[in-house]
Amino acid sequence: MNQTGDSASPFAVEAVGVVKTYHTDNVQVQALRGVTLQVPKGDMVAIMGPSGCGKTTLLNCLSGLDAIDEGVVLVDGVDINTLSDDDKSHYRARRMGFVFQFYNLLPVLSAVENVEMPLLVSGVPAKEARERAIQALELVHLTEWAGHKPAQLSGGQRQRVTIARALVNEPAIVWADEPTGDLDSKNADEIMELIVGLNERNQQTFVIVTHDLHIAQSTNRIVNMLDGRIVEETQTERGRAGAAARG
Amino acid sequence: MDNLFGVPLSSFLIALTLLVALIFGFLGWIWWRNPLLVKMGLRNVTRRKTQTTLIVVGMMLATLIVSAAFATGDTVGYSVTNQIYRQLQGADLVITFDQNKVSPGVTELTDADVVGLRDALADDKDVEGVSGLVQTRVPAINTADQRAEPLATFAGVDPASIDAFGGLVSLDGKELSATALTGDRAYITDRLSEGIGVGRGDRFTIFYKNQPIEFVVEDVVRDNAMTSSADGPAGENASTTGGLVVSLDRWREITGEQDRIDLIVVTTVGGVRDSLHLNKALKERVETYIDESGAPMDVIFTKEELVNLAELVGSVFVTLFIVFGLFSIAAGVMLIFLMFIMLAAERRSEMGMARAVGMKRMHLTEMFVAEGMAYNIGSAMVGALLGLAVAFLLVWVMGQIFSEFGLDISFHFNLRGFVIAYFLGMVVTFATVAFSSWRAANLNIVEAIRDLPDQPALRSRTASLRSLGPAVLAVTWTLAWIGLIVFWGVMAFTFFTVGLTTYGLGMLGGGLLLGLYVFGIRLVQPGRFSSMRGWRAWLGWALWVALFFPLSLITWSLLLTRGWATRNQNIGGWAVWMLIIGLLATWWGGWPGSMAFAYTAGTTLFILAVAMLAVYFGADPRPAFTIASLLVLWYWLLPLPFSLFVNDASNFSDPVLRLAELLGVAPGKEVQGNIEMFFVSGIAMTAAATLFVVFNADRLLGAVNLVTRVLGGLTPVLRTAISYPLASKVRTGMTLAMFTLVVFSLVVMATINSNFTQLFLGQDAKGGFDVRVSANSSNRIPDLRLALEEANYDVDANISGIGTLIAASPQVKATNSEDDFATYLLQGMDQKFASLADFPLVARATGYESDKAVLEALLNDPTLAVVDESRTAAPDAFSDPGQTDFRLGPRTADLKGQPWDPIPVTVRDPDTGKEFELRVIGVLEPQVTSINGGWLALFTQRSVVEQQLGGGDTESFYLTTLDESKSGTVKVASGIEAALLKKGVVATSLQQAIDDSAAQSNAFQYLFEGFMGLGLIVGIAALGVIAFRTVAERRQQIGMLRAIGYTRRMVALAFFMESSFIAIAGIGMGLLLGAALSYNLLTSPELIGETGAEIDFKFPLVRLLIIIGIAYGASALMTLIPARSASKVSVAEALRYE
Repeated sequence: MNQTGDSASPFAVEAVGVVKTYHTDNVQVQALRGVTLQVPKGDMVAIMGPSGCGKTTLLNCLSGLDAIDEGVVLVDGVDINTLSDDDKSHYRARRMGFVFQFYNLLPVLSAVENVEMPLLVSGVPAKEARERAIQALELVHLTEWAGHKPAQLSGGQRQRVTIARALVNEPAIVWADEPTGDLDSKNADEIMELIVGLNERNQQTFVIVTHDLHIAQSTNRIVNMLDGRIVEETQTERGRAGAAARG
Repeated sequence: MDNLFGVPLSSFLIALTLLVALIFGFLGWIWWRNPLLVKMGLRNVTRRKTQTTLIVVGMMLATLIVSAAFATGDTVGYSVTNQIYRQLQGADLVITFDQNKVSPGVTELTDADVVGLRDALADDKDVEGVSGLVQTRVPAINTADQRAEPLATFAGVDPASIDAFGGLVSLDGKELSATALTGDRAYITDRLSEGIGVGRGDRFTIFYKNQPIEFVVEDVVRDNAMTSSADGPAGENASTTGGLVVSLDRWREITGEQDRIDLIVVTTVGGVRDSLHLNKALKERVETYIDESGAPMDVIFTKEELVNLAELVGSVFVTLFIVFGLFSIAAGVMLIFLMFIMLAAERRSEMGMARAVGMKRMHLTEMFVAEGMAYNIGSAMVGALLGLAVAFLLVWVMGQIFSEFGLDISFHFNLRGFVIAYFLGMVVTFATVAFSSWRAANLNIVEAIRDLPDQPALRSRTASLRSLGPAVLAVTWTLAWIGLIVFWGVMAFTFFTVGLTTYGLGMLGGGLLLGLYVFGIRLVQPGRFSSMRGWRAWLGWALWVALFFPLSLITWSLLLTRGWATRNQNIGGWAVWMLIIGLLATWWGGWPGSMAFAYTAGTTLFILAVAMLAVYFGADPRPAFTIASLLVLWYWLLPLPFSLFVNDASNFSDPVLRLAELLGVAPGKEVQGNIEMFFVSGIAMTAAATLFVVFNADRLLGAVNLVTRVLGGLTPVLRTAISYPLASKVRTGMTLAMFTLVVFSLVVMATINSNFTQLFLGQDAKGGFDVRVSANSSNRIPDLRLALEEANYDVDANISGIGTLIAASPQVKATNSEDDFATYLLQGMDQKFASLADFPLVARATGYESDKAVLEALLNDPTLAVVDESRTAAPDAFSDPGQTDFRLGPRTADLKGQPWDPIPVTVRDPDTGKEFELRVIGVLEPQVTSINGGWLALFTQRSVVEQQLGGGDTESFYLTTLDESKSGTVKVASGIEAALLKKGVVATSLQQAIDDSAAQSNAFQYLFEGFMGLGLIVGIAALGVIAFRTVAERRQQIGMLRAIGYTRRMVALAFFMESSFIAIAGIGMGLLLGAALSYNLLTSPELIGETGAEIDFKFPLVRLLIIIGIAYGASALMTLIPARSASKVSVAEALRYE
């Protein structure tokens, strides 16, 4: 196992006994209470639960965006909580992709400029970064909108740009927090179709936080949380079909 | 300081107190009506402490500048006034010989004149005494250790009458009597005592006509005008070297001048400081006596006039500092406006929610006003106190400079000035806060709640020619309100400056009327006091109309049409009004008013109005405002670029004038402008440059993208650093404008100052010589070489040439003018002087091919002369119009521009009345006389002075040295002084004199530039406010950037570079505009024509680099904090942030 994470581990993510507590004024809130979870490589997992159950916190802790208080988190075999802040940043730039509910595109940059950001941050030469960004936009069928600013795109198009940005650096894992939360049902279905297609074609691992059961059922497995704990893991119909196909 | 240009400061204080009371009254009214608004406003103050600190720092600048200006002006006025009282002591009137009454045998005052005046005033109950005194300059030496003072004042006083004046005061404050001055006893002043190291009982020697006379020190007295202020050698500055006082009889015995009186002084009853009110009437009585008796006397000043002059000096300093601080004040006002825009942006959604649940726009305005006033009260106090600190520093620096001239300046605190500054700062800030609050409360509820972008305001949705009419009327509505408020302000101010006895009535009456008027407005406005209800309301309304008939009708109409006006105002209406005002101002300034301020500002307004009108009718704002801004910049920078290619580009400097000439309506006279043009040009050019940058920001980004491709890893950071400022036009534009304004003003000041210093204090000022030796008129030196050799000084080892000037003070007038004769210095030069002198001439008469040819002609023809440039320059602001002055006639610009024949001047010997004529064939360049006051003269052959003017008054010698280095010339000068100690010569290295003058000049310049640089605080505070705000606004984006791989350092760098971009752009714009304007000013034909000086234009690179370095350095430091704060944002929390 090495720091770049090219390990022989079959799991994209392994979390053992993860605890996360928030301290605000005189109040302590234990958002995660010893969560254990494994996500095999190429899997697509949905994390569900009511508001305040800790699903976004879990995503943030598993992706290294937030530190944990107890437990171990291995991403592609790497214990990310032992990395320095800079190393975590480098790791995210090279090995992870993020899709947020509110897109978080930079409004002053065009679509292609937003997409190529992670590559430029990783040190990829500008020309190569631009070529790969265009290819990523092709994947999400937005090539002709490459030069447009986010304000000139629809909600669905913006989310596609976000997905393209998440994929451009060929990440080992894509974290998506309510990727369809701000979209209407038609756009939401299109986005999930895109994500599912990417998962099938590229064997990209996806971890998706959602409150929408319909979205969750597009994944292979649903992890249900309540009060900071995983209370149930169920395989979806798609997951069962996939497992059967693999024999 | 009791008055500011004639207006009593107490009037200012009362008016400001009332305004502040009104402001607090308004706040109290808000609190009474709706205390929740005040509570909300005040709680916002503690919401973000760092932001609050920055707001207070930004708001305080206007108060700081006014406070520093008042404290400095007050200190100067107070110090000068004190100096006057110390110098004059009991003397209330000072009378000297009237040069206009010179006639053969009457060339000075005598004892008979003193007696005559004394007798005439014998029954005057206000007069305590009349006395005459004499003064001259002699060398004084402590023979024990050879310490010497070459120019001590040697004063003779009448013991019988001088004691009433109280001018002889010992160091411990005891009044001494002149009756003790018997035999060889003398009082010696403190400065002389220190200078030559003698005290009570010691002996010292003076030399008069080369004869030593010994004295014993009776006591040491304080220096004042009586004891130590005699005129120095002709043209020299009066030095502060102290003096000695003997009895008048003893003085006459030594000098042989039996009847001479130099000054007659009159003292009134009362003390030193409490008799000013008697001066004016006494002066009139004395002048009546002079007119009736024909005595050759002239009252040169009274103590009251000098004290008033001191007040004026104080007022000038206040005004000077406020004018120089205007850029900073303007930047400060912009910062307040910007801060409220930022505050409104920060609270947009909560304000939208508040409006949605029922709050009115006025409530939001009141809430912001309450918050703004909380900042205001604190910031005004901070500013006023810091202003005192700045004034203390300024006064300390000025004290070092002025002490060279014998003026003691020490800090004086005046509570009234402090309170005025505090109140004035508060009022100015309140006005800005009120306007900004009204503006900030103007939001669309839905856009605010949903955080949608504001709809662009530039294009009008109903743009058409038909809707333009109502728009113009709607704007007229706003202007009518402004006019009403200004009218009330002027009336109120006039009311409270009518005079002391009516203050009480004024306050009561004015306050009552104002209250009635405001109450009347409430009567007709729907709301709490419902209009037209009940007989009381009707009666109140009728009274209101009756009392304020036209005003009430206007106000009532404006209130009724408020809704219609608000709906119909748009950019088109404003554009039409700007067009009208611009045209009127241009016409008035260029034609009847002849005022450059109105002329140029009107043209600028006109150009911008045309762009606005084009946008109203559908033009794209970008090209419209780009063209307009470039036109405005080009207009203000004319005659650039033509002046770079053409020698005389004056035809290109005023396109409006060219157009008027084409149409045959050109005005017949030049427009006049003054220091206010500096301010107007800065505002206009900054506004234009900022508009250009803001509207072409996206094009600039394209250029940046080309650059960033080659920068690799920095690319994403640089791209975000530049994209964000360019996307926020208003805040970036305002911050750019702040930096540009202040840097522009600093660059112009620094460039103009350094070029003038270089011109007037360059090598030309030496006139080809290295050392100046001024002889003492009491101990003349016919031959310097001989005198030095007799004193065993090795002339040949040190000196390569000695030129001699003999000075006389005849009466002169231009032969063909109607002017009276006036005394002017005439210098007779010898052959050596003419051959060594390097006198550049600004103009030569026809027939003389070079400057050297003119000097040679002088030597060959005793009827020829050259004159200094001050005789052909325009009279300056300090000239006394009542004083006869010798003028050649034509101006410098006229003499430079065309061929001219020698100009005859008539010279008259005041002793004999004999007249002769000289012909002026050349005019010296003005820089030649920068450090040699003795060259402010007519120059002719030595023989003329010797033969026609009785040998002259005194000699001065100009030497060239073998060692031309500064240290070499200083060594020669001090060697000559030491050798000729007993003759009382003053020897000066001219290079040292240039360097000393330059150092003084630079010290003043740095003082003003430092003061103006205070405005950078505003720009830096603006950057800080924006930076902190953007960190808050972009928290979620910061989280996203960190999520996709930005390290903390990259986030910090992005924010730091963002602020740096704005700072560098603003500083760069200020530098370019300031450099261009300075170049224009210093190479303009008008300046060269007026001063006769051609400047070898140079940019003061070191000084500019220092300005840029400090401006950028301070900005960088300020933005480090928010940049670090951005880097420390927790990723997960930021992603949740809404």
